[in-house]
Amino acid sequence: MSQIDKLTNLLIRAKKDLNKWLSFANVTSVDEFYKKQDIIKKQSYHKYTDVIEHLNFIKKIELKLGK
Amino acid sequence: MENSKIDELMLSCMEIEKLADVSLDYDFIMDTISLIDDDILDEFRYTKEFKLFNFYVNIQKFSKTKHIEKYAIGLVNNNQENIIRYDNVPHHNENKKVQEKNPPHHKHIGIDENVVGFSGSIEEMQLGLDEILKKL
Repeated sequence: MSQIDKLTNLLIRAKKDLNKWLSFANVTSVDEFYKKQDIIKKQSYHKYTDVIEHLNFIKKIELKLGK
Repeated sequence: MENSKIDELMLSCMEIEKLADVSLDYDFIMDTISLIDDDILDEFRYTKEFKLFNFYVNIQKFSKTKHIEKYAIGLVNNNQENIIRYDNVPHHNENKKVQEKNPPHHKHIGIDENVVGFSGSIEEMQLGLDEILKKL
């Protein structure tokens, strides 16, 4: 499998996993996460940073794929 | 965890697989590791949903020799509660309980505030995860 194929699979998987990380933070969408980010941050440092880090991971893969 | 490499960590994850009733996606994991080995990717994130919990491994930073420098590994239950989490995020380093035992590695039990110091070897993390899994 080429590196592009591997990165593409990783992006698909990462986008699917984002829903899990959002649900761990008790929200259902990225928009809702940003709206409630201050509350989430106060409730749990990790629930907040895990979502941010996952969103950054997705952006990083997209950049590698030229998206 | 310090000085460990990602392949050692994945061997440890195989033990988690034995305790749970679902297979980890080894082809996907090996593809991701190969991207890291080829310097295409500098991060590893893996989440797997099991019947009673979600298992995750996040490695955010590797050294030049691909050793793990910043990580989080843990379990979240179906009520979105952190059952157990091991990481070396520095935000709890001022915590006295963490300072007592080889900071900056620590483990969270249940909630973020319930943090204890942790020696940091993969084997010890494995034992901690096993203990929790047996109780589920």
